[in-house]
Parts: sequence; structure tokens; C-alpha cells
Amino acid sequence: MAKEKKTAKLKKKWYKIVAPSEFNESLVGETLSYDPRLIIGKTITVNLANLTNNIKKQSIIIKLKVTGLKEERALTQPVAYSTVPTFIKRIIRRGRENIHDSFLCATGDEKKIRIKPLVITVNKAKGVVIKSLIKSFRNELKDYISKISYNELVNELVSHKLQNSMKGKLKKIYPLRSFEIKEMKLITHEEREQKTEKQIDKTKEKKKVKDKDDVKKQEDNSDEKKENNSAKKKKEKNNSNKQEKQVKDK
Amino acid sequence: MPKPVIDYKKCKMSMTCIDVCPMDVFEKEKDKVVVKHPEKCIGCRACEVQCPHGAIKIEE
Repeated sequence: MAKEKKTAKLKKKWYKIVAPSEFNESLVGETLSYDPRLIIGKTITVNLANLTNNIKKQSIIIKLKVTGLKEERALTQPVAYSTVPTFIKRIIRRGRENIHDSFLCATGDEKKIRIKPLVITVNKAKGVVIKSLIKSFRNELKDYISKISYNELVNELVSHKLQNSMKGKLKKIYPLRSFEIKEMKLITHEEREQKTEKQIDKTKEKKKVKDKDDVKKQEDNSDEKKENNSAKKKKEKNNSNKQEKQVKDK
Repeated sequence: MPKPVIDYKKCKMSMTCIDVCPMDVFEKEKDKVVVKHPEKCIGCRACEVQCPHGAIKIEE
């Protein structure tokens, strides 16, 4: 006979997930949970066309994270912004230069983000031009982002203002076809800690491997020396024997 | 599509599945529980986990 489990009956409930106030708190989705506290931390990806009712923005995806609850409605915050890979594939063509980059920067309210811009030129460009483009857009973006808050940055990305202003500035260096932000994501404190731990582990492993290699090399060198010494001794012995024989013959 | 299946050899009519299911897939018919609306099932596995006799399994 199977033992009967004695547990309280828990019924899962539906909770509505709502977009942030920048997107008019529109309904994004629903989720099931025993306890509303379990929803916090869940993420949901939404197409921007559904959020803004603008079909032109269907190539942009926004990731929302549940941060709180209010009257059985889960409140969210944008965590990442990304463009669809097919859109990027469509704008990259032969005879144009496509410059991909990725770097970390901090917003005005001290939130760390990773940003991945993509620059597409009208024609093929020389290495010097590409270098200067990368240098200038890195500096410009870092400067600009450090002056505005995270929410403002998301708003500017969504409305394409940041991309347009950057394109206008970079046009002076070399004519551009487009300037896009391929990806932007918020780096949380936990992720940063995990990454640093991973980096530390990697460096430790590298050190271990290096030490092992050094020990092996030293052992090899000592063996070689021993072999050389024994060979030398043998040669010397042979020479001395020959000399003795020659002396005897004489 | 997920579909709940009841093992009637194990079922002792505790009615937990009826109380627990968020989509009202189960119903009581005469003196046994039936999977009345299998198309509604979303595969949340609340019934499978909470059945005291382990009589329900979700088939994908």
C-alpha cells in the first residue's frame, strides 16, 4: 500500500504581469504560482511592437523582470534591450563596413550596463577610419550614458533618439548607413560577483598549469643534463682507453 | 500537449486534484474523478505533485 501524504491543499493562482509605467502599465502576460512571493525575480521577454502598438518596432525585444507586487499584479522593470538577429542580418551587406563592439559603462544612477553598438558604413572604410569611429563612439556613449539615469536610457533606446543622435555625430568622421544598439543589458550585483569568482578560478587554473609546465621543464632539463654528463663521461672513458691502447702498442 | 492520466487502482477519491487544478480540468462524475477537459491542461503539475496517493501522471 502506498503511504498517504498529509499535505495542505494549495491551489495555484493566476497573477497578472504588468509593464512598467513608461509603457502605460499594459498587460504583458499571466503566470501561475502558489505564492505571489515566488514570482519575484521571474523574467519575461516581450516584443516592443506589442508594448507600444507600433509595428515598426517589431525587431526589438525587451526583457522585463518582476520586481514587486501590487494588488495581485506583478510590477516589472526592463532588464535588457536587444534587436532580433534577423534584423541585423538584413542590414549587413557586401560592400559596407560593419563594426561590432561591446563594452561596460555606468549610468548616472550608478547602474552597470553592458552595451553592444553596431555601426554600418556606406562604403568600405580603411582601418584608421574604423579605429577612429570606434574610439569616438565609445567615448561619446560613455559620456552621454554617465549623465542620464537608467530609465531615461531605456526610453531613449526605445524611441531611437540615442541612435539617431549618435549617427549624426559619427557622420562627420565617415558617412554612415545606420547606427544601432544591438544589445543593452543591466548587470546585477550577483552576476558581477559570479563573474569575478569565475575570473579568479580561471587565473588560479592558469597558474597551476604554468607551475606544472615549469616543473616538467625543469625535470626535462635535469634529465638532459644527466644524459649529457653520462655521455661525456663515456666519451672521456673511451678516449682514455684509446690513448692507453696507443701507448701500449707503441 | 500535456494530458493528465488517472490511475484508478491508486485513486482513493481524495478530490485533491479537483481542489488544486487552476484550470478546472477534473470533475466528479458519479463516484469517480474524471479528466473532463484535457484540452484545458497547461501542464502545471499541481495535481501530480499534490495527489496524496500518487494516482495522477502528466503525459506530454
